[in-house]
Amino acid sequence: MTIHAGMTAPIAPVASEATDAPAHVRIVEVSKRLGDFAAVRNISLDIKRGEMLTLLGPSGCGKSTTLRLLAGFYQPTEGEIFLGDTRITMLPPNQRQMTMVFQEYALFPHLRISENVGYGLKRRRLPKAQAEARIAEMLELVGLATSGEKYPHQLSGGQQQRVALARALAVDPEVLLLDEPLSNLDARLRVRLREEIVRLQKVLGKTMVFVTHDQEEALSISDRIAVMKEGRIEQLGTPDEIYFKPRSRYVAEFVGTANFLPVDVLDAGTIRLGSKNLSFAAGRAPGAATLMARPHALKLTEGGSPAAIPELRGVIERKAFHGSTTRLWAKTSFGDVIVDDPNSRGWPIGAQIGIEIDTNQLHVLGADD
Amino acid sequence: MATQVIRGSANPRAKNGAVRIERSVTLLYLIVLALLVMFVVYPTLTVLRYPGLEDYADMLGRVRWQRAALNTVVITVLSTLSSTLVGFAFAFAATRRDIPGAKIFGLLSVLPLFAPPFMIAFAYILMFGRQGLISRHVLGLDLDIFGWHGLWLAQTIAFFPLASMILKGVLEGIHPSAEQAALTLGATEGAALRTVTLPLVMPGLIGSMLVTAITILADFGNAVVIAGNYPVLATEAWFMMEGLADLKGAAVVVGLLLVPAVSLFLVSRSLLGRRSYSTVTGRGSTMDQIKTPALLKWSVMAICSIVSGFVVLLYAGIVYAGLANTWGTDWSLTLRHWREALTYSDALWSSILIGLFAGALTAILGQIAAFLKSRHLPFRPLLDFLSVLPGALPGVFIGVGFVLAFNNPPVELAGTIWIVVLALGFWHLPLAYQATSSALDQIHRSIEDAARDLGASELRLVSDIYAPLLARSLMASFLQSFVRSVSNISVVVFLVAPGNVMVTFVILQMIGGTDWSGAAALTTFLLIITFLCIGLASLLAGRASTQSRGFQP
Repeated sequence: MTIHAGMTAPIAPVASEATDAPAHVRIVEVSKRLGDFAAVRNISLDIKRGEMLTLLGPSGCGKSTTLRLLAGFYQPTEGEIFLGDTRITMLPPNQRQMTMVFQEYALFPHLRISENVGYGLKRRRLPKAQAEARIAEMLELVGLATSGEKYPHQLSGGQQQRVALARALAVDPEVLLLDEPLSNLDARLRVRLREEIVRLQKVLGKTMVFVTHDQEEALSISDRIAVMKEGRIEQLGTPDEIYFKPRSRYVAEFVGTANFLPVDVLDAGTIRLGSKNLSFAAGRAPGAATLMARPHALKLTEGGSPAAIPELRGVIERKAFHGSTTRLWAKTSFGDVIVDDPNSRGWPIGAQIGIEIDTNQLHVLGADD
Repeated sequence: MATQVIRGSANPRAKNGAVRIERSVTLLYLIVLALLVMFVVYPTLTVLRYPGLEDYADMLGRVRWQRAALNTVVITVLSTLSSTLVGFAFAFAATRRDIPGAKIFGLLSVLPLFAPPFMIAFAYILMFGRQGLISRHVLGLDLDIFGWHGLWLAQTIAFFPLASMILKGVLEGIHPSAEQAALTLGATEGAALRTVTLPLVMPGLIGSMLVTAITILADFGNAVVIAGNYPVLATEAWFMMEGLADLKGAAVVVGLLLVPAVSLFLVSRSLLGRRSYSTVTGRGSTMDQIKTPALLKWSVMAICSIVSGFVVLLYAGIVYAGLANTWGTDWSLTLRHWREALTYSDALWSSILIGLFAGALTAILGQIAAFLKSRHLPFRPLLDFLSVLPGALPGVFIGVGFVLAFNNPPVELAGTIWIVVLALGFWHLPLAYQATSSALDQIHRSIEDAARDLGASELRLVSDIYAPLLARSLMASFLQSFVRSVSNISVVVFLVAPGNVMVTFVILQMIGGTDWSGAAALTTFLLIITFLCIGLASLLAGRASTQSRGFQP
């Protein structure tokens, strides 16, 4: 095991917002190989006390491995993990004060709900009366006060996952780890339970690390999101930053639909899109770059509108009704452009259109990002 | 179902919602039921009805029977416990990532499954008996291994693979996240195994003990070779028929043996059928397994190593005994016994022929019965019950049953190979039936719906969909039934006649006449046949499975 400077010297905050509070959990230059596969590559991440941090990415990106490294199921091949000031890199899972909620619930099927919730208390040899009070409190918290005598198989999937939450929170862990806890639930229940998790997190002020591949879930519940790719953290930021100011096409496309248009950055306040100059602070050195525009940042106009970008004039090819908006695909000289139109009735297929751009919702990437 | 699209004759449901059955399927169903009644129900009832009530009462009062009954209880309990312990160790070693040697332990733990039922006891005598290579000539000991302790050890080695196979499935059914959850909640690895894994394994463990107990209760081969003056029920019937020509007594003994056998069978079925605690959400990755506590890990490895060594020794003993000049005095190698064994080519040929026919009967009938079970037919539970019932019947019961049922007109088969083929074919039916049923369960209903939608008739489904997809389970069933038939002794001893002498019977007589070298040579031949078939079958099965993926017409 290599000794890191990071063990003594303070680690520069990786967070996009500067913060004075010391990190609750610090992952310092951690790598993990699983056989021949480099599952996690040199990750550093500070998790703040009381925050909901989401690890987001497709399968195989290393998010679950990172969670297992935190839980102690895996030991890092390199790097260190700290809980507060304590180095926990090699500590076994049962001594880490971090509990986990699993995708497949992982309730103990042979134990009653109350015994499931009380399992960790029993391991900590809590006196019976205290344990019972705690179990009742936890079941109350997740809205299952009357189900204590039942067995897991008598509950629905959503209820089982609430029990798993109660069980993990009952021991008052330092950190709660959630491994795709909603993936086995149907869509409606998923939304309800995720709101409940956020509520619990705010009420209890608990530090939580949440793993998911569902970008909508991540955007809606997180204080911060770490988007992962091939074992690395591609971007760390608030949901707003991740969505509107992605660092790369990868992030932009993973968290939503995006149009990418070639632009030239002319100076600090101007970019050139096709033959039109837009006043926009790209925050980049002059030169070729890529403009990222979400479908709702674009607005359809009549083909001849003077505000429209000449190169983005085109024809509506396809449309899909989304309820509050209609998504339209327009063929332009810059290729297919996707626009979300709040006026669901307008624009028939085949209509000649122009496109205007809301410069408040744009973001410029490097040409190679 | 109300929204189901009605499309021509391919729809399985008639307008009133009741299921329509095609005539050809009904006919097939009736034929199968008739066969089951004829060759399962009829012999069973014949055995039970052959003696009078007073014969049963008389037997219960006999001291010899009481002793055998008590011995049977004792040895069944002992061997079941030890087989389960060893089987658990092997299953545990096979399913834990951090226990090394999974491959080699796995291989050695299935070897006894392919041994003829008397082989373990015989090999044990060869290696550890009075003239034993190890006991006498390596260690210089004078051991008497005949009796309960010899039987106990032989049965443990012979039957732990059965327990291991069942328990492996049980352990694999436990998702690693249950143990992980326990760990994050503060449990040590040991505590997690004790408070989570063990309770989850318990129903399967008990179920596996019951299944193992049924087999041990009915174990004829090891008992007849090594039990010596320790009478047990499985061999009593044969001694009565062989020694005393007391057919009534034999019927009473096997009839009474049926009581514990069927009881264990029914309990085990309800236990293992209850799906118990196996997780529904797939198996999870072995990467997620928690660490095995050191003490447990080393105990398991010690058990597996010792037993594996023993298995190797026993197999080596058989092969060497067939090649050594005179066991006990002249250890030099010779092919003399092999040449002499070849003079029994008639018996070898009968064994192979009977094995082929019985295997085919089992595999085909099992496949058909399993297919019929998946149809919406009336009296399905009856079909199911009759198809698994033979699994509860001890071999000696089947033997006596076929002697009594088919020795006289109207169906007189005595002395032909067909009586043996039918007895073994129907006795092994549950193997094929259950294997095919579970394979069928894995074929998604929608595959069948798609075929019907495209116009396939019900029988057409069998040839177009099921047969290709089930080729592997058909092959496996045939192989299993063939191997077991060729090496069977418990049924065969009752049916043997000049026209159908099988190798196993010859071997048994040789062991009795202390022609150990000849017996060992013939047993080696049996092993060669067995392993050749396994090799061939796994080759075929491999090809069949790639074909079914490619779906060539």
